[in-house]
Amino acid sequence: MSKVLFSSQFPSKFLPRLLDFCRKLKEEGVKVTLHQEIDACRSLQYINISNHNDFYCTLKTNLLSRREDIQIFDEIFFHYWDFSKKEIMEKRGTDYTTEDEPAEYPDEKEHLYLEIADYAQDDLKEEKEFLEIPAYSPAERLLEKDFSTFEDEYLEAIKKAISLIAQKIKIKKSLRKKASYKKTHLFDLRRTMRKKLSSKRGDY
Amino acid sequence: MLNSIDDIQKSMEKAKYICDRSLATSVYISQVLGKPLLLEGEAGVGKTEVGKVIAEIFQTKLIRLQCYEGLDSAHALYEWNYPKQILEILLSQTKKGKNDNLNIEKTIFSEKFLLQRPLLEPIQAQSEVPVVLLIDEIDRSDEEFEAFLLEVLSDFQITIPEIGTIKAKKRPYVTITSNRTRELHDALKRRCLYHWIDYPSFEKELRIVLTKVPELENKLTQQICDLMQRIREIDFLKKPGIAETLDWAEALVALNKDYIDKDTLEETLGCIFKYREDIEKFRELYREGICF
Repeated sequence: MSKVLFSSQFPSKFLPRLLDFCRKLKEEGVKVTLHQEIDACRSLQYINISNHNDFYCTLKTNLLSRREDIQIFDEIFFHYWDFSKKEIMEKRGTDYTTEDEPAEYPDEKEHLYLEIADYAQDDLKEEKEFLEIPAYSPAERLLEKDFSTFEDEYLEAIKKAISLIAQKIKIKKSLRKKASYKKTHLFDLRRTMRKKLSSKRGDY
Repeated sequence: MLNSIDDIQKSMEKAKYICDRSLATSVYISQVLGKPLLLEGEAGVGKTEVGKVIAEIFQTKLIRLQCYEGLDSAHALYEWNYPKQILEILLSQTKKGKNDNLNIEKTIFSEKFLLQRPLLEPIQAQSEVPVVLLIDEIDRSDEEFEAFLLEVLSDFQITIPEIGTIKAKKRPYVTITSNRTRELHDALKRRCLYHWIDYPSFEKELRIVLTKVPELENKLTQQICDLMQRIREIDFLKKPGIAETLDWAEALVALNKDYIDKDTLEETLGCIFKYREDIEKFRELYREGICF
């Protein structure tokens, strides 16, 4: 008999996305255990998940266990949930909002806020249907976006991605200095030249 | 009972601990889930104080275990009261004249002859409100002790061979602090919630100093915090934490200073730096007019 790990009131549609987020963290090298994922789910029942800052802090305290992972977590979190980093970072100070007064969200993020609020209001009846309902996809949203509306962070990410792709597809010239593992008796002119030129003896 | 993150944050501020929302969230989640809270950060940023403040806001007892190299279960968990056990044996011999070995053994290995150490005390606590267990500077203890803590932190139970397993009636609020002098084992970390306490921002530090040292003038407080922020930008062996800021502020109050001049700074450098090399480096930078 399986143990009930969290209340049935937990928005079930939200669970696959949370697990997907944890998977993304693991892909980037953050050690997230199953227990931590379960605890993160349980924790979300006690907070107002429509409050971005509380949502961020709760996931962070549950899923991280090393300081070095904070930066990776932040990068993935803000990209995955599409929250405003500035908004959350500002609230990390001493000022805070009450749960009854949710913070104002920019228009472009409003639909996301509503989406998360919807998740919170889901009941048990909808549990079976969650796979049939189209879920939010960050990749699809990015495809629809115009380049002119991209923020600096996105543009930086695009630049990095382009340079990574360019590295992969560039014409590679052989810079081999050691002998190949291939069994061949042919004379390697370039290697011999390099070896002679880098030789300190200067006997060429 | 504090039922929300706001409640925790406000209560901590009432207890004169200025904390940000993320720390309040961690404390709240730790309370509702009954999970230990692992606090990491540089020395002097207020990690130990969190444990004390939690005890204060929940109006409960604080039990502190200060870790050190060589700490073992006898010092952390329990120990048999050997002198008392010997006395009991002698007394029973004089009373009965005959040695009832079985009865004596049962008697002397009962809870009555157990010396409670900091880890056993919260587990045996009978109070309605859970007590706060502060395991301070766990990175100073040996790895063997860390492994020993696993049973306590996951199930809140302790096995004593002579008595059996004792389980906590109420899960204590556990706060663990570490200065990261060594990396803790993953097994311990995954049993805890994690929070990194960083050096405070200028605004936060200003609020902390004004709260903790209210007799300090506003202008002088600003001067102190500003200098501290600039010192932390430089690569010293030991960057001053908030504890050093408060020490310095209190020293300036004791010296009746209204502003910081060169002589005052020279006289009170010991409050800010803890290494001779840092003091010399600071003097050199000050002489050259870099940053100060």
